[in-house]
Amino acid sequence: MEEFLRYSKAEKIEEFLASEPEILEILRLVYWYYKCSTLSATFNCKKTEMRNKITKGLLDLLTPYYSNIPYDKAHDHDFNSWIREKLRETTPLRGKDIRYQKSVLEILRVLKSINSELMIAYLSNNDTIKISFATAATNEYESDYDFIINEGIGAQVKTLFPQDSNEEFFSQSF
Amino acid sequence: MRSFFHKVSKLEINGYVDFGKLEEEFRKYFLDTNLVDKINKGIEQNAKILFFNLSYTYVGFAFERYIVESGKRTSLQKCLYDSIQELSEVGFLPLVLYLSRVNIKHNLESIYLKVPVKIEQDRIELDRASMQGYK
Repeated sequence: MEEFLRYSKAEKIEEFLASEPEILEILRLVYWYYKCSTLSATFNCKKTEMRNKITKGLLDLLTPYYSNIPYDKAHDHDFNSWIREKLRETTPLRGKDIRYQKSVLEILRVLKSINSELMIAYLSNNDTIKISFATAATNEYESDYDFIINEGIGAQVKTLFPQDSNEEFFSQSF
Repeated sequence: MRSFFHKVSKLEINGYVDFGKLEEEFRKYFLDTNLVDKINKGIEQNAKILFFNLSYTYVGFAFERYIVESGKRTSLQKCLYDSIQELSEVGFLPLVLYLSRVNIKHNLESIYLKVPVKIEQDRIELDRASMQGYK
């Protein structure tokens, strides 16, 4: 949001447009995250899993600057501070950094996958179908569900992306 | 982007997406891409219902056009309810396909299929032969 405000004030519309897909996807994440958090207390189980997915791309990007902070165990406030600090550190370099651009694409892909899960979980919930969440599997023998229907039916959500090129994926206006 | 629409336009007859062509394209898409791996992965994870988000694929776009053009919209709730009813049926795994799109308003289209599975050495796995129409 800080970037959004900065670009708007300076009327750098092209720069803003370049960031628009990421900003929209993050806003979607915020929306569906909040919605799912109202579904069930079991949503807390998903937090660590989602953080790990999102920070995976960020960590690749931040390797040269990365200091070892236990982001997966931190409280909400610590985690937010950590993300903010790391993003600020990378700002001066990122315009020319190919690795940054690749990381943004990966983050966007991860965000879309997470949003798919959260959206379908929330929209599936109604008077007769109750949705809850479970912790991610820690080994290959454990069941691994994105969410659980009526306390017993495990569901998995897969988001499919174009195989041949990223061009299709990012040039569509969703 | 051009190839995206080009692929979909090849499925049209008189400007509308044809069901027969779409069905054939869908079958090819399922077997030619890594979808089989994704289905198997979902089975390995012990999922009883699978959801596939096709919003970013050309086949999903074609699928959405067909649903809208033919007026065969079904709510997600109905797809899910029907899928749950099918859970007791042996040899199939419910697969809910969905697409979300934001134009002036947010649209969500969905449909559900039954994916053939078989038990092999006490493990459930995708029945490829059935999917390819050999059985």
